[in-house]
Amino acid sequence: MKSIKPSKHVIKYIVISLLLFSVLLGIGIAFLNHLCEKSVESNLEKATKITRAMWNTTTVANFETMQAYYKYYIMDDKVLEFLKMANSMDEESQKIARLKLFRYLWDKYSYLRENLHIRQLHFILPDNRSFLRFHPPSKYGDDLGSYRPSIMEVNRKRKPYIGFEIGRLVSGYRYIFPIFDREGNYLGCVELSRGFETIRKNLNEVDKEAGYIIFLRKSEIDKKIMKEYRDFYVNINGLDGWVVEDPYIKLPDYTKPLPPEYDKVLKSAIKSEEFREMMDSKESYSIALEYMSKYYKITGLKIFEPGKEYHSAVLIAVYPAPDIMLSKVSFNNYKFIYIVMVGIISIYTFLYLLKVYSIRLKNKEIEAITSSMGIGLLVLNSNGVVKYVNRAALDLLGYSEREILGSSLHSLIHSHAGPEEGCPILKAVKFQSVYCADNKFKRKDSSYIDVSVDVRPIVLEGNNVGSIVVFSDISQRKEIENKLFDMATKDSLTGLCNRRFQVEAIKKSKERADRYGIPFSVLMIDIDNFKSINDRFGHNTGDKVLIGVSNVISQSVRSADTLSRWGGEEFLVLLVNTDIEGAVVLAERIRKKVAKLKIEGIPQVTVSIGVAQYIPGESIDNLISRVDNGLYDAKRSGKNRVVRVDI
Amino acid sequence: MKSIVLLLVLLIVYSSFGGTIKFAPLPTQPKEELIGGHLPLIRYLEQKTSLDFEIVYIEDYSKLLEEFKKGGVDIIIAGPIPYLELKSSFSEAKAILFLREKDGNTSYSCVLITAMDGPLSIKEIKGPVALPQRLSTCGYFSANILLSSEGKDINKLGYKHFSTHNQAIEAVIRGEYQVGSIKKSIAKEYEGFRIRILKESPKWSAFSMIVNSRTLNPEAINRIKTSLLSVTEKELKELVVGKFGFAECKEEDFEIIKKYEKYKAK
Repeated sequence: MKSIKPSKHVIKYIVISLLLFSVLLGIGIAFLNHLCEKSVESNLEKATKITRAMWNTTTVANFETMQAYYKYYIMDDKVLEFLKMANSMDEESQKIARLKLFRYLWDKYSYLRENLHIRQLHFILPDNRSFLRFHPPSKYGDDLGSYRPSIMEVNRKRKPYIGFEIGRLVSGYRYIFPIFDREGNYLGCVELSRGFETIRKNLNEVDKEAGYIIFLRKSEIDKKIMKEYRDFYVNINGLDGWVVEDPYIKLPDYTKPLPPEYDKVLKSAIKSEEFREMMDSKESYSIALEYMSKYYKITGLKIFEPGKEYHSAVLIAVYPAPDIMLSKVSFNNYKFIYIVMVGIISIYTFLYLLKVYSIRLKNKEIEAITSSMGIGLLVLNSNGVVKYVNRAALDLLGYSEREILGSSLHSLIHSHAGPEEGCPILKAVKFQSVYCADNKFKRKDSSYIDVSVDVRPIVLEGNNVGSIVVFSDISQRKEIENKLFDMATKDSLTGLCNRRFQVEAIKKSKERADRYGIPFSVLMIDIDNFKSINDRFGHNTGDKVLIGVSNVISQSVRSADTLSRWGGEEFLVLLVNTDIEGAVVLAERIRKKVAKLKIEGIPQVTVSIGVAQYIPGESIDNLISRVDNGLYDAKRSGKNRVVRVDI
Repeated sequence: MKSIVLLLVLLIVYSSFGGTIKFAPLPTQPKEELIGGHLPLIRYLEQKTSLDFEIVYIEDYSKLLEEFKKGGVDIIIAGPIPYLELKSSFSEAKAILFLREKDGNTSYSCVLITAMDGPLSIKEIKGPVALPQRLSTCGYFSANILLSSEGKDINKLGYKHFSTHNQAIEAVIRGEYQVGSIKKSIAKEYEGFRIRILKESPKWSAFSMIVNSRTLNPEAINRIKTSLLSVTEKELKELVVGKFGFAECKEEDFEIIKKYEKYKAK
C-alpha cells in the first residue's frame, strides 16, 4: 500500500507552527518564570527583613533593659570601689577585689541568671584582661585582646557595645558597658551576655512558626574558644567551615535543636549549592526550598563581629512558606493555561497556514486558468476599481499589472465612451446587472481595440463584492464586418456608397421629410462623354475620371449628405435638410469644380446634373425618375449644365 | 535459616566490639567543663580504637556508680574512694589506668581551704564544711581525716555536699561556708580569689580509668588501654582530661586508701 507523504508545504507549515509554538512557549514560560521568580524574590526579601527586624527587636531592643540592669543592679559605689582596687598594680589587692566583687554580686548574678537568663556577668580590666567571670569564676586573668574585639572596642572607645560574639568559653549576645568612677576615671568594662537559647526563645515568642538556629564560623571557634569548650562545637555535616554549638545537648543552657521537620529541611538545604552560597555571602538574604512537596523559606542573617569584614555567625531562620507554594502553584497554573493557549494558537496557525496555502493554491490554479485564457478578465470591486486582471487582459490593453490594479477601469480604458455616470459597464457593476455588448477599449498607447464585453456581478453570501468583466478582442471580426459592410454598401472603385445604401438613406430622409417636414433634395450627376473617354483613353483612365469626379463631389458635399455611385458614370447625391434652391447652388459649384478637374491625358471632364427636391408623399422611385429627367434635360440641352426639376 | 545465621554472625561481630561504649565522667566540675574536658579524650579513643564512644553525664556519684553496676555505663574516671566503693559491691569494676596529675605523678592530694577572711587554722573552724559529692575522695573522707588531725569532728561541725568541687570552693569564697575540702589542683584554679589552704591530705592514688569488665570485652579494654598508654606528646596537647598522660595502674596502688578506711562516710 502506498504511503501518503505530506506535501513539503504541509511539512513546512508544521515546522513553522512548531517553531511558533516553541518560540511563544519559550518566551512566555521564561516571562512567567521571571514573574514567578520576582514574586518569590519579593517574598524572600520580605522574609529577610522580618527576620532582621525580629533579631534587632530581640537583641538591640534589649539594650536599654540591659543598660538598666547594669546601672541599677550592678553599678554602685561598692562595685566601683572593688574595681578601683582591681585596677591597682598590686596582685594581692586584685585578688581581694576579685573575691569581694564576686561575693558582693553573686546574689544579683544568680537572680539575673535565673530570672533574666543572663548567662554571663564578666568584668574586664582596661588592659583587656579578664578580671572576674561569674561563669565560671575559675577562669580569669586571660588576655582577651586577641579574642574579643568587642571588648577591645569598648575599652578603646569607652562606649557601650552590643552584638553577637564568639567568646572564649561560649558564644552569645553581648552587652558591654564601659565603667567610670565618680571622678570619671576609666575602670574597665562589664559584660552581660545571653546565650543564643534565650534569644531563640524571644524570637519564637514573636514568631511561633519559625525555627531558629545559629551557625558559627569554625575558624573563629578554633581561634577563640578554650580547649575544654571546643568540643561543644560540632561540625555541620555537609557544610565545611561551620559549626553548631552543643547539638548533643550537653550544656545546661543548651540551644534547643530545631523541630524535626525543620531539621530535615535544613539538612536537605545544606546539600544545595544555593544554601552554601548563601552561607558564604556577606549579604543577608533568604532562599526558598522545596522539601517533601512543601515550600520553606530559609533566611541567613549574617552576624558580624567588630572589626571583621567577614561574618562570624549566621542566624538561620526556617519558616514554612505556603505563600511561595501558592505562588508557584498559581504560576504553574498560569503556565499550564499559557501552554494550552499557545498550543491552540499554534494549531490554529497551522490550520490557518494550511488554509492560506490551499487558498493560494486555488488562486494559483485560477491564475493559471485565467492566464491561459485567451480572453481578458478583469475583476472590479463595487466601485469599478480593478482588483484582478489576467494576462490576456494585460496583453490586450498594453498595461502592466501594477498600472492597472487599483485603477478605475472607466478612467483607464473607457473614458472615451463618455462620463462615468453614463458608462454602461459601470452601471452594470453598480446595479449588479449583466451587460453584454461590443465596445471600444483604449489601450495604453492610446489606440483603441474593439472588444466584446461581458459584465457579470459577483455576489458573495448575498453581498455585491464587484463584477467580473470578460472581454475579447473582436478587431478582426469588426474588420471583417466593416469589410462586409463596405462590400455591401460601397462602391469598390470610388469608395462611395452604393445604390442600395443610397436608397436606404433616401428612405430615412423621406421618413423625416414626411414626419417632420424636413426637406431634402437629390442631385443626379453624370459624367459627360464617359463612354468615349473609356473608348479613347482606356478603362484605367476612365477609372481615374470616376475617382476624380467622385472626390470632387465628396469634397463639395457635407458629411451628413450621402454620395453614391448610382450607375456606371452616374452619381446620386442626397442633400439632407436642403431645398431645391440650395441644391441648385451646390450642383453648380460641383459642375464648375469638375470642369476644372485635371486628369492626365484628358483635356476636360464635365458633368451634367439634374436637381430635384422631394415632394412630400411622393415615392422614391418618383423622385428618382424626376431627377433623372432633369439630368436627361441637361444632357439634351448641351451637357455640362445643371437642370432643376421644379414641382 | 540463612538469615538467622547472618543475624547471629552480626550479633557476634557487634558484641565483640561492644557496641557504643558509654563513658561517664565523674561530676567534679560544672557540666560544660566536665563534658567539654572529656570530649577530646573521647575523640582520641574513637580514632585510635575504632570503637564508638558516648559521654553520659550523671550528676550524682551514687547514681553513677549504680548505673555502672547495672551495665548502663562502661567506663568512668573516678578517684580512689568511688573506685573502692564500687569495687566492694561490683567486682567487675577494674581500674586500668591512672590519669597523671600536672606534676606527672599518679597521685593527688586534697586540701582544706578557706577564704581570705576565713579561720586562720583548723582549730578556729566553727561552721559547716563545704564538700564535693559524698563519694568524692576529697569530700567527706579527706575532710574527715584533715579535721580529725586537729581534733575537729566533721559530723559536729556539719557539712554540705555540693555537686562539684568548684561549687564547694565557690561557696567558701562567697563566705557561705568557712571551709571546704576539694582537690588541690582545683583549689589552685581559685588562687586569684586569695583562698588559703589550711591543710593538705596525704597523696591519694590519682584518678583512674575504671572499666566495666562485664559490659566490655577484654579486646576492647585492651585497645583502650594500649591507645592511652601510647599517646604521644603532640596528641596530649589536644586533650584536656588526660592532658598530663596516663600510667599503668595496679590494685596495690589503692592500698593507702584502705588504711584510712575508718574515715570514710558511713
